[in-house]
Amino acid sequence: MNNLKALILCATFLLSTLFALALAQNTSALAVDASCTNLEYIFARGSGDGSPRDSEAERFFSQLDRRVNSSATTSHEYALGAERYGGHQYPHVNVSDLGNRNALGAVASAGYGNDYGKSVNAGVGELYNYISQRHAKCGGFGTRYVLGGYSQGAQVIGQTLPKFSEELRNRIVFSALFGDPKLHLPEGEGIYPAACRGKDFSAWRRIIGDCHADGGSLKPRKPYLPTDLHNKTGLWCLAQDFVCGTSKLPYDTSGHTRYANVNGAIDSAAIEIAKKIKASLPSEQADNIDTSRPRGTGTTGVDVVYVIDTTGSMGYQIQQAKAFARQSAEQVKEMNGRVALVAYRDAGDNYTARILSGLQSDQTDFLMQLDALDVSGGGDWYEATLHALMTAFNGLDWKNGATKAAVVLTDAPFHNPDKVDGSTIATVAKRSLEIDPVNVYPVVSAGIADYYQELAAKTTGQVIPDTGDTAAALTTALKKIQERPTPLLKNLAYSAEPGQEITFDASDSYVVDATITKYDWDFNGDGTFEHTTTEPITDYTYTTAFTGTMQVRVSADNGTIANASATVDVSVKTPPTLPAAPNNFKATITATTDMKSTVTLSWYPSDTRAQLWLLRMNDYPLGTIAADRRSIEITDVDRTADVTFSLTGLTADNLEGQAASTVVPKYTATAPTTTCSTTNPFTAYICLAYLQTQQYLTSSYQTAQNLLWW
Amino acid sequence: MGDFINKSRQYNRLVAALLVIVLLAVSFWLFWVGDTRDIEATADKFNPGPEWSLVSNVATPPRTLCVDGSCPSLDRTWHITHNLTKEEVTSITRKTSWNMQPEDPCFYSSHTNTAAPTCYFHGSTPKYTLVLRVKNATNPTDTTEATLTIREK
Repeated sequence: MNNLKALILCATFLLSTLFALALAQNTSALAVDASCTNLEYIFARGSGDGSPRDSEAERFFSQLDRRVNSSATTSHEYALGAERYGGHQYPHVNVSDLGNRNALGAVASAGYGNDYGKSVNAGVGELYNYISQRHAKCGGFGTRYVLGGYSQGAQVIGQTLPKFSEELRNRIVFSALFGDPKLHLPEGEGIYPAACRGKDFSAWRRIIGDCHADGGSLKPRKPYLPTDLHNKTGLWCLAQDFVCGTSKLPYDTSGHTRYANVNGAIDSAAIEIAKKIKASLPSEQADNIDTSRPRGTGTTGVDVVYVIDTTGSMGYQIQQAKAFARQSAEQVKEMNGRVALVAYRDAGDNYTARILSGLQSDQTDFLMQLDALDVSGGGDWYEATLHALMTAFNGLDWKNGATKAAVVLTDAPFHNPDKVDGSTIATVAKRSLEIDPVNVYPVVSAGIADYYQELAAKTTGQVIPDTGDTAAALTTALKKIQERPTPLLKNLAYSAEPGQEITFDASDSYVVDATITKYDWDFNGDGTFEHTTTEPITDYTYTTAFTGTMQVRVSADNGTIANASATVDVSVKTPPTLPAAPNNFKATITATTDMKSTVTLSWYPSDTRAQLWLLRMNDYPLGTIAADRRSIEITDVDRTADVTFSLTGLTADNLEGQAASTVVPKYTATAPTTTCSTTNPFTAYICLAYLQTQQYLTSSYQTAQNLLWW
Repeated sequence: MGDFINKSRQYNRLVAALLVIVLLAVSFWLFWVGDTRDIEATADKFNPGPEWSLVSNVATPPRTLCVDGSCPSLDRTWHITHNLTKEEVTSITRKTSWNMQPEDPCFYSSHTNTAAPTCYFHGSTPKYTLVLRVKNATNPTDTTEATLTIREK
């Protein structure tokens, strides 16, 4: 009878399991059963607000759809979290509210534990099963995969890639990772990172906002990617993004919201992906795949300031400028640009220079101020142009990464040095470079063009001769800005010690509908270009200390030029002393069930330098531990093999000190445990009492520490 | 001697009180959470009309520590009964003072079997940047969808 009951129970259990499996398969039928396509776009969103398609996902899909527009390709898109696959569905986890402990839990577990880690694991499970099932259905169709992930989603993609078979990995066209909290860039490690010298860039490195970035906020994943995917993965981490490690300040996260901007990181990735797809197609099928770059714009658009002479002699030209500005502002807007307005006169007038409208994409204020411009004063022929440029340079909120230009509208030369603030061409050129640079385009009559040649040349601008029609001259100036190359250096800042070679790399520079002909290099920012190359990369060694700006000037065969600058800090730095390995790092097994043990790790610091402890199990980071802790309990340690724990002190800058390690041996029936091995009954009693007290105290201390930790 | 001890105690109490005040102030600053009235009031200026049916409104309040940088932010989604043209959306956005501009190409033809022709409109106020994303339906079972995203500059 009992056997019958057991049989019925077993059968019920089996049927339930089969039913559940069938249900799981049914729920995953929708996207997998969609018709097979050449290309499959998959995006894993950030922690987000619950929708599988956040702004970044939408931008990713729409940019790919827009660019890969070939009749020879069909595509299908899938946003992770939309459906359940293999019993997994990527859930939303709110990390913006510190009160719910999700963010703290993510940090404490290095992104592998708590609700955040569970969400990542679910995402990994869903992505793995989705692609596996899709591949099973569409493998014969030759479907290839394009993956994208933002923030937590980048971690999901990164953790899933190693799980794919080699066959599946070969099917991946490209993986684009944005703001990855598990970022790892070995070239950013150390006191003197190779990245700051322009050296040893990882194959997956794209736009990285700080050359010191080596690990994301949830500690780097090592190895970051399977070797065969190094050249098929791109990583973007914009400046001021604490999440992926370009800032060490937890409140400095403004960069984390900029990946979906127009001409931003996602758009840039879409161009790279389109190029890869185009390269893989026969030329007759590669039509309508748009791999063009935005014209004359930096990575974040264009900032243009109109610096207008409002002295009495400008009366007639002002009216033309006003009419033109309305049209040109619209063109700047289309270039993802912002405009500003500065009016100037001369020393002794009712004002010398003033910002009437700051840089903004909304042109309402700009146009209103432009309409209200009136002309008066001026005195002598020369005006305060240099002072006006310095007012614009210092007073406007220039955008990092944008192409910057100052269009000067005047009918007069300038005081050099300036009568108001003593500015000279050299000081204006220096300040222009420091802002990465602002190119000056004087729109002047032929009679005074010579006065402006040096100013334009030193700021890599160009003089636009006004032949009587200011509007036409301004159109020419704007056209020049649009047609000129977009010079891009790999780093915005370089640092090294005297005698160390720095590689300056401008290979990301481009020009639309023209060809770059040469690169001029000015290594100390004095306006003199010491070196000219036809290749975009050059090496230079500063033999003595130097703090300043370098620039590269890029020339194109359409007669336009443009330059980019970066700060350089060459100095002798005193390396910090790293934390020594902790003393007496040992593991005590406190319980074992089914080959799984609870292990208490304990240690003493050797010095006071560790600001955090980094714990690894078999080289896999388990998480960080507060500096004042001296022990931690790890449950469910799988003892089917030897397990190595290592503990390393981290400095405030996350630099790793020396590691101490201990091995918990593979479990055997006679595995050693902490026992009281004595034959004397009294000694055994004392020993056991001591062990129990120690266990109780450790447990209490642990509880107290856990409470404090949270 | 007694005076000295009393003064010393008073001093200690004063220091302790100051420490408590500083601690409270820092805690308040760290865990401060603002309200969403301002960003919602900005979003309310976009009033598209009865054919736009609001289906989602997620507002994240400003905070001192904002791990994902989205504080404050607002995402508001509508379903619309018919597909929209660039001109239609422009006429609606023109009623705001955001100077919203369409991003080209606008409502390009879609080549994925799931993506919809999309158009982005970008605008700004002195405090916020605004993006309106409009996705037209590609088949009768889909719905035209518009999402307004507002983020602090």
